[in-house]
Amino acid sequence: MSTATTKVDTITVTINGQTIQVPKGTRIIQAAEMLGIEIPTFCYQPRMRPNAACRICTVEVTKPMNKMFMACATEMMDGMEVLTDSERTLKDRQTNLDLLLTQHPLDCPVCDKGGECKLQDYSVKYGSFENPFETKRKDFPEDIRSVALDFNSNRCILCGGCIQVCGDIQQVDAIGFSKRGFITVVGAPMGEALDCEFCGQCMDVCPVGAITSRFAKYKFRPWQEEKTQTTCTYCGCGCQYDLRTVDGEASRVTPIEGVGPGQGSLCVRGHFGYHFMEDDRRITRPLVRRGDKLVETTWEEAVSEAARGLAGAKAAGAGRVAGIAGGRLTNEEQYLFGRLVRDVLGSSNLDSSLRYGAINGVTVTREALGVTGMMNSFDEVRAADAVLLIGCDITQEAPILGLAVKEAIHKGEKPVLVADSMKTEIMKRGAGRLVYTPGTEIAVIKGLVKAVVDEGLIDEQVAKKYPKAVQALRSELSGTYKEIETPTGLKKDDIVALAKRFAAASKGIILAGPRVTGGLKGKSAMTMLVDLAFLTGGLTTPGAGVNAITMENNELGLALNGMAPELVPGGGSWDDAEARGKVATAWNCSLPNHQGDTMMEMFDAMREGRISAAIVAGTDPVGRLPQDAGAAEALGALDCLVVSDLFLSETAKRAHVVFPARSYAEKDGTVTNMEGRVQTITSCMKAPGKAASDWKIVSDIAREMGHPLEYANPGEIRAEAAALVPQFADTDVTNAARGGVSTEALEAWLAGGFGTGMGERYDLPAKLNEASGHEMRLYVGELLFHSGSMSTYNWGLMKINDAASLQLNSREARKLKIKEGDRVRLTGDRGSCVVTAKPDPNIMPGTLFFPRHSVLDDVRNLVQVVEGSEEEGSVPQFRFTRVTMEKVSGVAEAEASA
Amino acid sequence: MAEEKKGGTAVMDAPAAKSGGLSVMPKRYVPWPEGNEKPQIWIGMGTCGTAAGASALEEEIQAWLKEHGMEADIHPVGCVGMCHNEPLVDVQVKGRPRVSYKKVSSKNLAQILKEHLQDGSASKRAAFGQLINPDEKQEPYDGIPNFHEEPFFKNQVKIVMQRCGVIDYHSIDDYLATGGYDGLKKAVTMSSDEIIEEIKKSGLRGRGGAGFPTWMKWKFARDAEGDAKYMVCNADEGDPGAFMDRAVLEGDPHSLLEGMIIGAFAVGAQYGYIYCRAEYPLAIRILNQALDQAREKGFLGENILGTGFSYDIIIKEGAGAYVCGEEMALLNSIMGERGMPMIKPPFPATRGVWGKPTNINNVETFANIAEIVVNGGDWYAGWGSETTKGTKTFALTGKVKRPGLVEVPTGTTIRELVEDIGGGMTLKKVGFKAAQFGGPSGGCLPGEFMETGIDYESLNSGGAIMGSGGVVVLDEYNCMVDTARFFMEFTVDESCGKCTPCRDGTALMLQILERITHGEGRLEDIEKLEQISGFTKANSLCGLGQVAPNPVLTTLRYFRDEVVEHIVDKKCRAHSCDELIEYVVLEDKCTTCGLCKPPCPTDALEWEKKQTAFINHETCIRCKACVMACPFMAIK
Repeated sequence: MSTATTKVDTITVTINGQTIQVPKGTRIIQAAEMLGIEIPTFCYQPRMRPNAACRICTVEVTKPMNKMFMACATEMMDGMEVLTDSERTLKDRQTNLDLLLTQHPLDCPVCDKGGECKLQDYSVKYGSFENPFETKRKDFPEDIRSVALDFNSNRCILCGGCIQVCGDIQQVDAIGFSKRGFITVVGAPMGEALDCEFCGQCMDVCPVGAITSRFAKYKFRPWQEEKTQTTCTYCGCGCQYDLRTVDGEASRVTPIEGVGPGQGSLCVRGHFGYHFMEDDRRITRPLVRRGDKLVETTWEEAVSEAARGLAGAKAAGAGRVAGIAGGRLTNEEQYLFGRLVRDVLGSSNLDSSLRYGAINGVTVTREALGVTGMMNSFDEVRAADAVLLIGCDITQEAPILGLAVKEAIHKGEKPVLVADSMKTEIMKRGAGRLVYTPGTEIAVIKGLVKAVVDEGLIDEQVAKKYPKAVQALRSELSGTYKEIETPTGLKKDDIVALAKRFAAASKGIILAGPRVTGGLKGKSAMTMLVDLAFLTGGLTTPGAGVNAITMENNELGLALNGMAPELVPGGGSWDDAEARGKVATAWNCSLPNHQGDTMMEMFDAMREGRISAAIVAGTDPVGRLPQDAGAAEALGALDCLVVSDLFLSETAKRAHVVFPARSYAEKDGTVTNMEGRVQTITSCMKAPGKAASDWKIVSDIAREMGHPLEYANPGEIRAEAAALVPQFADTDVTNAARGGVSTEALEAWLAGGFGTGMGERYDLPAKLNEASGHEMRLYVGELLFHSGSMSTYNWGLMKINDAASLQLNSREARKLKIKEGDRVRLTGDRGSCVVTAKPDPNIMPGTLFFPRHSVLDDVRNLVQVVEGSEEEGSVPQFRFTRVTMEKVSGVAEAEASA
Repeated sequence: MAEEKKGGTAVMDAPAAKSGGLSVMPKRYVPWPEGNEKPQIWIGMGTCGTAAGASALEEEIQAWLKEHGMEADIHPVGCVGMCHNEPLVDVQVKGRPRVSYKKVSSKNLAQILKEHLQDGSASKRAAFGQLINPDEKQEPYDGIPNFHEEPFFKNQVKIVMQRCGVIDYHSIDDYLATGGYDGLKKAVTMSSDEIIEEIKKSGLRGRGGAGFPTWMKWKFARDAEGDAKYMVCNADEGDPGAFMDRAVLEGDPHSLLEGMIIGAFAVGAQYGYIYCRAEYPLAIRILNQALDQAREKGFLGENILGTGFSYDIIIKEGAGAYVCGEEMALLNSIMGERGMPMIKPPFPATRGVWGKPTNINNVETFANIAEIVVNGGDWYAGWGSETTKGTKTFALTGKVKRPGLVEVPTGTTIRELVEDIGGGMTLKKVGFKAAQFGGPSGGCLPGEFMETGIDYESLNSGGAIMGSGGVVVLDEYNCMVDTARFFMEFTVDESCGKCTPCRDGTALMLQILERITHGEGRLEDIEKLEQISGFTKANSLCGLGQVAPNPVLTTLRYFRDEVVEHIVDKKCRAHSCDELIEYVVLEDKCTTCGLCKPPCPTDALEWEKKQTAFINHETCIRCKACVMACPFMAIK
């Protein structure tokens, strides 16, 4: 890789008499922007190559020749002189507007765009108020067939921006032009109703009101809206957007061009998932248990009951209290929650939703690379030469990172290599694909590392610099491919081919998904990926790297705040006495001297009566984990369970005290995305009823317990937390920008026996080959339209997709005579249930997929939990199970079983 | 034909240098098939000939031969250009020249065959020329002019069309026997630089209409970096009334292939596409066959002529969009995208098909290449005007006596084209009004341009364009406003809709023109037309929009009076615009019979017994029902 920077040639150009030096290749519109000169444009999008369709940016070039040029598309030449305000320019601009206005209906008073419409603005600024032309207007009926986006072709000025964003950024090509000339219209192919990913980006780039949101239609006027920049909380991407409100009610979400991880892109969840805050199922008042019932009570009584219960358990003995937190909490709230449990309650039994899998990604990268979170930024992904995705359905699980991957490979120009157990969206663009048996990620990864070692694909510099480490790996991987081929169903040659392609790229980035970190031996699997990156030079080449993606919004905050028994605030290890001491000093307390229980251990302790009280905030272990994990039973056995949440979750239903919590739109604070960016969320809506921020709830309980944790606002908490977690001091800085891989950490890790027990790491679990009476492999995963259960409280998203159906291979379905909508029965070792089937060609034969967001379905409870060993991060494996599938014949039986 | 130089069957009258810089055109003769005694019959079976009934003729010839117990070889040939004389049949017997018969039909066919095949003479009434091959001993027929002296052909110089209508379009052997692939054989011994230098010397410019120097295009494509390169032929001939490319595609497909292969060799291309409109099914069939033949003979495919150079061509059929003739739209269409122009740069030479360097030329351009390589650039440059060298084919149509496909050196005047070759106006008393060049992108040049030599520059300065070569001759019966409206209607229909000026500007212009032809024009309309035209010309994305206003602009420039007359006097001097015609009853002819009254649907015709009828112009809808009904032709 060449690190030499090429010298940028500059040229001198003149616009409206102002001379400026610009880099070669600058377009007129960019140079004008530098000079603060506005050139109107409808179709120009800074993120995309110029389309030059609307022609409104026409400007008069006077030197070197006199001609009209399109400012958006014309690269300037040295000495070029341009007039953006000459008579000819203004006249042509005016004629253009006049022509458009002969077509464009003047229905501004009922158009959602009225007030922020470019055509409106330019007409006022550059247009003529008496249009000399008249003609018959178009009279297309409005296309309101799609569930979320309405197309009004009469308003459309055919700038093509929507088609470009759909084709070039989102890369799904869901819309295009049809017909020709004057009667050209934009829409889905063949005049069908639009059925796409509904990212809504077409609507965002539309300069007029031709594409509007069904959910927001007629509900706002732009000038009534208040705009608040905030962070999307649906997934670990953490996109920035403006949440717009009218009188405190959310009216819509609009992206911010060029800002944040998404650079102006949003996905369906971010764009249309803004309804849950106002859902009337929100808890608005504190609840306390009275017999079998939860009844509303006053805030004071709830606080005192919670404090009493927790204090009672604390008094009964050390470690009798547990705390579980989730990614819904802000950094500040998590920090304070942690302090409540460890300091006020004096218990080391603190765990969080990290335990569902992300902990493995976090600890491995921290131990090996000294980085908490992704070592690469989204920008580095965009610039990568190759991307290797393993167990990661990126476009569903982290859609905006998915766009970065799409940008990196731009329409197949660079390779994306995908290993997954189904044909994912991104796999269809893949240069190399491995479709393996679900649940065998670890074997696939081992195969890839082995291929790199066996085929001499090791980066030369790495081999030279770290011969011992390379030798250690080499001897560990001397076995045959047989043990890999059998469980995964892959062929050696395919694995080798993929490894070769990845090793050939200089800036190769590995992205591991939740099925790696949360799979069998997840920590080992993740460590093997670090080995793979290490061998191919990924740890020593800038722009290359290995990353685990996180699923929940602020999962990385949990890691930084030490919200797991093996971690301390700052992301250090509990075993590290120095780190522990630092925390104790900061908090002026003595921390419990033994490491606490993990979530699964807590459940055991609760069942056995060793833990008698718990506080759970922002997560729903009962709803998230299968029945087999025993969460319901364990939490139900407690003397006191305190829960704070937005909705009455499965966990909250079992609580003794429930606090109504605030959503991200009703509180202030910061969240950390998977890149390590600390970003702000800002309150802009009124919280319903008594709902309070979790930090407030924690603070109140602490005060009641006689151990006040008093802060005026989250800023004060963050200031305190920053002493332990330096990342919180700065906002909007990625791990990569903070310096990426720590060389000391890497050297120490390599010197210190290469992480832990390499021999054990490369031993494949026997479970892979375990026989079962059930022939189908079921796995539970993410859908684009939903994440967790929160998204299901959005009526908008539910309109777009409310399906909780079982996806199965379409060919197999045909063989079994199962059609879409048919009911099938799944039977596993943990029971059986009946679900609706949906044949899908992307699912592999022998495999079944069920979306995770549907928490109330019994499918989740079919899963048999495999408890991860302590060495493997104690992560319970609950994404896969084996089942038998049969078609439920007859309506009566279907009804009976339903 | 002073000095005859023999080379194969191509006869060069004299080397260019000897005739004072005036080069001499190649004349192609199909040699008599050795050892064959059977008469040879050629039928003009291009799309044009077939439309004129040639397929039926073939059956009739077969039937006649069978009836008379004779055998003959029948060959289909392409278009020789003589539209006005279709269908054409050529007949040759051993030892005698090939005789061309015009307007052959079932009425005269038997007579022709009888005289020629049985009587040993030629049917003088139907024959219009004989092709006397100087390489063979042939006894000419008396009283039949030499083919090349025929008035229609006399002033033509055929390079592109040298074999069209002469050789059997199914036969690569005919092509080879008439000097075919000599250019390629020579080219592979030359360096890329040498080939491009010859093309540069020839002065050949893109015959697709824009006139960009071909050598420069090739050089750009050759110098562009890329692991693969493409040589693409634009055969998406879409101008109404233009069929030059079709003649080559059907009549001489190998000359196109040879040009492309030479081009590919020069620029280093490995792959090629011929983007041919699907409305040319015969051309596509013939091209596919030609590709197979060329591959079989080693002119195409792997290791061409043993040089190690490989190149192959795929035919891509268009889907009927005119705009796909624009090169960027064409590239998009080849790649399966919607045929829409894109902003340049990047030019195809650096980023074309599948992102690779691509060179695109028109059929006619390619058809010139082989001959230039064989004879040298100077030979080609011996023809033509100062700025435009060589020849150009024109589809001469409209109100001329001899419409057809002609090839003349550039610089030929419009008068020569219309009068000498076209034979003058159809109707003696109705004079020449204008010549429309370049189809919907071109303009109408009035009589004052009669003596102008045709080349890119002269046409441009007149407001028209060379375009692909359509020429429509208009007379006093053609309304200029209506002509402009017709072409604008075409553009509106074919605009892809991408950019505002072309999409909305043309639609608006059409609307204004329609208004004027309907007699509802306003004087300010002229100003509006000029404004929109200027805007559209300067601001459109691709060539289609940039030249779309030309028919309007030239009409306003040369025929402004006529436009004003439509608007102010509500009159159409050409009697072409229905709404502007006023029907009157001629008192001297009217017999007061009243037959004209009942058919009038709007009661505009007022008549009472023994009174001359009267037409109320307020309510008359100009349906002509009364005109038809009047037995005395008293209504006009």
